[in-house]
Amino acid sequence: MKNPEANPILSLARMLLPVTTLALAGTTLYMTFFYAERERVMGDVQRIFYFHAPAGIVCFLAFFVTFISSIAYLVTRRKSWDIVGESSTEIGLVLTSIVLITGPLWARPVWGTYWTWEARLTTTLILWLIYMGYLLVRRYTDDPDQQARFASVVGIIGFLDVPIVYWSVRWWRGHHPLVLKVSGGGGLETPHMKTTFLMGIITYLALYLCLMVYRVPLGQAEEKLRWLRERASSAPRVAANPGRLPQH
Amino acid sequence: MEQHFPFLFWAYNVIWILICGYLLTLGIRQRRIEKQINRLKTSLGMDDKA
Repeated sequence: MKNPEANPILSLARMLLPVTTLALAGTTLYMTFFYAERERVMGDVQRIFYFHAPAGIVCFLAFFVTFISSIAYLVTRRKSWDIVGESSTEIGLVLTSIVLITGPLWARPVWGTYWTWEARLTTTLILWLIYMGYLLVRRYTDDPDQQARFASVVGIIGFLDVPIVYWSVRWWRGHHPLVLKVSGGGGLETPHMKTTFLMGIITYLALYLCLMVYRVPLGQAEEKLRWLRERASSAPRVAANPGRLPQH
Repeated sequence: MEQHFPFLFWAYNVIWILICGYLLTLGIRQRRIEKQINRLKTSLGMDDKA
């Protein structure tokens, strides 16, 4: 078991990433409210885009990491891949929750309603439910290998929804704005707006990495605990042969 | 701005509430697991170098 404090790179990352993320968040906050211009159609409420859409983009990345980790786990059966997948899913769900809450807060003044069963909104909600399923399916069995196997299958199949979410506005001609469009209401029309949006993406990327360097060691600690419980349940034999803790 | 400010305010704050809430649960889980690991290690007679 690697202790985070014993790994110099991880230790450095755990020290630097929170500071970097906070500095980036402060810069993005300043740019959102003072650097980016007021959008001509929606007005100031459009500024929600700078922390809504980047969260959506980085949640796609988080679920892509889950997708890759799930494949890697099924191929190698190494528990460390499952830990990475579970960690990335949890963080992806936090980001998707941000998207699902900030979106309706933007929609209320612009569309006149918090929620509508529009393609982008519906497929994003389905995405959130799929990855909740990824975490919940692990609770249905006590066998850790089976938990990881079931979750990996959900992690692979669930990722199919990500391109659907992305293309949903074009496929079903929804009225969700295309934020990256060049002109027209909802688009990022000026270089200042584009820079602020890019800064939002960088901030969420830093946040994702920051949360990962704290969440992955927690998964390793859970695995260590499970191993110790197994040893404890066969205590008489352990007394004769204490063994070694699992390595990741 | 004034008319839409509450939406902007809550959209921004909900991010921090969710992130801080998640960090809090991570901290609680970490502490609970560490306690259980130490208790089990003691009962199994394993030191930290194991």
